[in-house]
Amino acid sequence: MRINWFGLTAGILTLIVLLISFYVPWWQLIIGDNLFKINGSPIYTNFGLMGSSFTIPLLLALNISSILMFTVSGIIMLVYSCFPTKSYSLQLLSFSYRKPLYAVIIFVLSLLIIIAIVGLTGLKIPVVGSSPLTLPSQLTFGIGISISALASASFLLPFWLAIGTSVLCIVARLYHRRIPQLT
Amino acid sequence: MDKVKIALTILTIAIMVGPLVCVTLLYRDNLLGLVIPPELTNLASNDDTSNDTSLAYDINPPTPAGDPQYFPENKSYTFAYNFTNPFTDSISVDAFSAAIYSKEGVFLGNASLTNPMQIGPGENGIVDISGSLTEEAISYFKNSYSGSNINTVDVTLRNIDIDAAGLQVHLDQLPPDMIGSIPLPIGDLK
Repeated sequence: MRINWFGLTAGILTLIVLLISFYVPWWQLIIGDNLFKINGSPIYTNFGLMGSSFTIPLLLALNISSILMFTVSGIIMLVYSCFPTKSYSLQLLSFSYRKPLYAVIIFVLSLLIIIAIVGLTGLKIPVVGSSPLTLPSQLTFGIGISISALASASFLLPFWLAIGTSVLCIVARLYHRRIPQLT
Repeated sequence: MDKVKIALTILTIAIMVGPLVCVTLLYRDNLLGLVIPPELTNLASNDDTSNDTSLAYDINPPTPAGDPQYFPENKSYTFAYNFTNPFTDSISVDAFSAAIYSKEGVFLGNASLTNPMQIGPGENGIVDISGSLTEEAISYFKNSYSGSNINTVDVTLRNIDIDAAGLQVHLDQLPPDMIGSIPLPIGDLK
């Protein structure tokens, strides 16, 4: 039995990224001493305020879509990898190999767009690293109060693992050309 | 093999659209709730009647803990405030500094946090603040109140800098409805 090992590894990694992402976000922003926290991820995005967390229903729906997409694409990649010579294998591969890459691209673009939109209000949120964040005067109602805090942001392990998975998925697609097909 | 392709396309559409349709139907009576969760609405409106209380913090301003004390030997004074941490995380109060002014706007001295402190979730913490009076302040009290039977003078804080929970807050002056004025004892100053 011929196996596409790159695809098999990519399929397993896709499911591992999915599992880890339930516990560790792809990108995290912390303001102050855990005063406000954003855990961003296509799998589970939530917000924390002084130890309590909440989510946005619309984001939750998108997260559920991502969870299902990761699950299905991971499983289909595994099925393809075990039967890469079947006549329907290319359809399975074409469906599954793009999904982690799409997730990474859409996540990064969404993050940059949201940060740019927030930046229009005067709040300069870092994508990576730390920077002082000062609440714009229009948000302090002009009552002689200024509020600032250190904001620290970073991409975490699942994000890098998702990039690795995306690369492996592309390698699996390229390797598929070397596998003689049954007609 | 078109059947496989069609099945995968339908699956993709179902996965993308299904959750969005479900959540929209759940919030069809309150579409704003799709992007503004009830926890945030409660927090903004300070609604205690809602069942969802995960973010409905009962934030109360600090209250005076005991009477302010004045120590004539070193011209210093202390006053304390009681603060209850309403959050589910500890709060660190790392720094506090302010200038003390009389109601007439005379600068009397500076005040600062005696020791950095940590207040656990739901716990009460006593924030001790101390400072010393300037020579001008002592002269002011002697000139203004000697011979009178007034033993405390209400003073107020300005240029307040607070460093708590990693947040740096600067207030030009203390909002009157927050703490109000501090009754500084001047019995030994007259």
